[in-house]
Amino acid sequence: MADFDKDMWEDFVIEVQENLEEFEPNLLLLEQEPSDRAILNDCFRNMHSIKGAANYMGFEKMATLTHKVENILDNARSGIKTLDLKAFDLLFKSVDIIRSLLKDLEKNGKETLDISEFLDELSKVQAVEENLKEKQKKEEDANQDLIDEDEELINIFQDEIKNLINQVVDLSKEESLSKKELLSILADIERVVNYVGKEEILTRLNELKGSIEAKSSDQLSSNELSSILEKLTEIFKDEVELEGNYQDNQENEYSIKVNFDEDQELYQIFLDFFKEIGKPLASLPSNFDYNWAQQCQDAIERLKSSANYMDYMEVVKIFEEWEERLAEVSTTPEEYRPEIFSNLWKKLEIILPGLSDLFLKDTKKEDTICPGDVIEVVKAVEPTKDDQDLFTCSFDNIIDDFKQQSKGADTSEVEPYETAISEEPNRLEPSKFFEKNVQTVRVNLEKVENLLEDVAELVVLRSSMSRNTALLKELYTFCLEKRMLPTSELRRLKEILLGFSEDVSAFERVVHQLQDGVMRIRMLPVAHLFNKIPRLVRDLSKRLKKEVDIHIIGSETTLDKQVMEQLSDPLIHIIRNAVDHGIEMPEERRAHGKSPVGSIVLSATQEGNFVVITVSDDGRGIDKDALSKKALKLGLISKQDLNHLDETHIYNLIFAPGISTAEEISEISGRGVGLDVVKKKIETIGGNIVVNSKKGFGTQISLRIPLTLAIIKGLVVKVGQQAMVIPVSAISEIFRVYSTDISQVEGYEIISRRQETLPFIQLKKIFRGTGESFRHKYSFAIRVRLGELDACLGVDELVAQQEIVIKPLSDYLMDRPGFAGATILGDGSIALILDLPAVLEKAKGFIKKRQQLLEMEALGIGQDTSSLLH
Amino acid sequence: MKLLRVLIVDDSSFMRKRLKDTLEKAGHQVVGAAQNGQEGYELFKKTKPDLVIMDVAMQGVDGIEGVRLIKRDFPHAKIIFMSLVEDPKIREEASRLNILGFIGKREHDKLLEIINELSL
Repeated sequence: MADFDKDMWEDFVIEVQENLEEFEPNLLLLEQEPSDRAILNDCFRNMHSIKGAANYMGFEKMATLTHKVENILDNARSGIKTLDLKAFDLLFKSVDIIRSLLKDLEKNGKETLDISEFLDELSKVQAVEENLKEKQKKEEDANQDLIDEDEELINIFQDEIKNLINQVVDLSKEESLSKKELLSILADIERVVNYVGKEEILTRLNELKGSIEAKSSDQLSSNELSSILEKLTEIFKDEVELEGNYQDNQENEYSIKVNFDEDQELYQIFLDFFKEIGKPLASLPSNFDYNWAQQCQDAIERLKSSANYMDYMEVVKIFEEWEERLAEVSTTPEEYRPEIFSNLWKKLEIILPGLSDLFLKDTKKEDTICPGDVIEVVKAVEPTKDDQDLFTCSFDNIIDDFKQQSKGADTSEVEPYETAISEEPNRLEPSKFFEKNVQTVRVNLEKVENLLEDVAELVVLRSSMSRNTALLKELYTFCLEKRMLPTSELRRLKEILLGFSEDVSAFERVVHQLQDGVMRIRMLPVAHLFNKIPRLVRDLSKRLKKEVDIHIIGSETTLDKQVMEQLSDPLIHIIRNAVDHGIEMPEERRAHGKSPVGSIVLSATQEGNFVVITVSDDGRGIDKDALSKKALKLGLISKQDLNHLDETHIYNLIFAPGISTAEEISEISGRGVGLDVVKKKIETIGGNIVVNSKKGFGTQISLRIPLTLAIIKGLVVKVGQQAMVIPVSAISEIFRVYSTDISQVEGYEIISRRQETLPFIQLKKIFRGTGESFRHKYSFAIRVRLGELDACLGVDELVAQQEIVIKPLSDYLMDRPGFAGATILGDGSIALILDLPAVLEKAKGFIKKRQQLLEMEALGIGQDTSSLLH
Repeated sequence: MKLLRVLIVDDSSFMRKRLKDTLEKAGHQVVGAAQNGQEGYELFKKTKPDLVIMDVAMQGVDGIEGVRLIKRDFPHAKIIFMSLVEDPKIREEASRLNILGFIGKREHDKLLEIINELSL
């Protein structure tokens, strides 16, 4: 096993997980937009990073796997093979397998998982791609073969034509050219072409010949000649691999000697320099201009010394020639011809790749004969490349690329850093620079938990301090009343007391902030929870052959990590229901005039100390009638209820245990099983769940979740001698009860409150061993509501409302339901926190009973129910 | 043995941290870590390190381009490529940049060897 320590391993896990977390949603995006290169690049980069890390750690299997995935992505990137459904399935699966490998490594310390089968599958996809690559290559080769067949012949043909055309070029340098000479060269060309049997060229040559013969004068002007040359090169464009110039012999000589390959940077600097000062050389005036000559001279002097320094001897030669010619025309301006210099310029362009692009813009603007234009003709002559040109060309590309890239680099340098970021907010990673990296710190959750525990101690201490201050005040009042101390002492005592209570309130404030801060550390964006949903929806809809879009809103909302973990299963359950039962098959949707693609919106928003998570679909909705019929059958509601129960109430029946487990209802209403479990889970973390639906239009399920589980607002009460805590969030009202208020029906204690009959649960009777309370004439009823359960809890005393730090109970205590945890109160005593859902189970029997009574009353057989039901 | 001031350029936080650990354990000083070629170039200008360890495939300005940027201003900069890229074209392009070496991420042991030779 590789020698890696725990620290390294943790880093590795983080690296892999972070990349997978990015990779998976990217893959989903890519599936929507398979041609999006940016996403493809991101995907590739994620895999590459994992591969890098796996290689570093020496995890062969993961390295091989990621390498193969990378290859598939790379092939997609280079356009060899676009990703199809199968490829996507494999890519998604590879995410799972990398995760399994991680788990495997964590458990066994080495890769024990056999992934060879999957690797084979990947290889197959890749093999198909390779085949395609091969095929493409073969086709190219085949074309190549055709050319190869009479390569020799063509070579000879090309050489001949080149020579002949060069003759024309050479002639064009003469003062004038007689028609006869030109025609004889053309005849030679004709002969050569005839030999190879290129009919088409022959005809075109003849046309050209005809047009020359038709010319009246025996001498041809240089303009006429250049147009003939142009035509000639045009004719041979597709046939002869002419170099990008007329003087190919010379060119060979130059480019071989100047090997720019070695120091492109230097070359680039030279080009830049050229661009800066070489403008006069590029813009030739149509008539001799002394100023121009002077500028040229200056530029050449400086450029020549640079070229000398760079050892570009051929370039120096041309500059020297240029100087010579310049000197010539300066003495005899009437002999100036732009062509003299444009020829030299062409030479320069041939040896200096990239030069031609430097002045294109500048020259075109000016009304001068610009070498740039000439060059374009030359370029048209340059259809295919022989070896020589291949070199120049590819080099050209490199230079161009380089120029572009360095240009890009320059602009990003100039641009303020912030703008660069704001353009691509999505790509912004938290750590852009190393220095900024320090801003986020990864902390082991354990450390945060420990910190939170300390803060919890502080909270307890705070309560204790307030209590002691209160006691101190009592003592002071006592002393004051009894005049037990002299006035001066009393005053001092008062001052101390005041100072102390000020400190205590300051302390309270700080503790509150601290507590808030630590809680915030534990908060994570719900994105952690939401990110796995798109994949789930994708897999589900593929399996069910449905089309579903998932939209996620507010994934930046933060939630306590612990709460989030509790939420994962319920959320998956709800989403699964939405896809499975909510969204219809595409045909059905179309038949109802809906888009065949269903849509599910998953959103999160913060509301005070709660986060509301909503899942809405645009599916078929809940069949209210079928649902209420079923509920009636199961005795969950009465016929009377049917009339006065509002819609929400009926929809929320889907959470009733009896209903959701019955199979028929899931078929009729289209809602799945186990929603009661979801509800229970949400309620145990202090949240609630609400459903809304419209038949044919969709269903919306909202979860209201407390921001954190660790600290709640609780009402401390006393049951006998025992302090207990009731979560404030569940309490709807508190009132005094006298023993006469309580009546009994079939063994259940009930209490009437505002025209309602409520179950009355005396906590003293549920929990034994609480001890006797002081005999009050009355006790208190705390009305709590959890979903459809509404009941009153009977307690002996109300103590205080305060923030409660929940501490989990030991496992053996958790086996006995009724308590959700414990806490330490200000006085150091321990209070148990009531597990409301479990306690309210006790009231369920009554609710059923109540239904029966209602039905009996409806049938007219219940006689004494009037006293019970108001 | 001379201790070196090293700049790390790699877009993977894992690699950055690992390289940093490795180098610091060997007594060298990591003067900076960048996530792409552009940042690497900026940090080079600021820190003038004795050695740069450069990844090739990075988002934004890649390693090849990063080295070009650095070499343009600092032709004598000492740079080692550390990458998994196997594409011979890229390897060749990289080798033309007058760098000290091209090593794979799996061969990270070699890194210290090269560094040791350098610092002797």
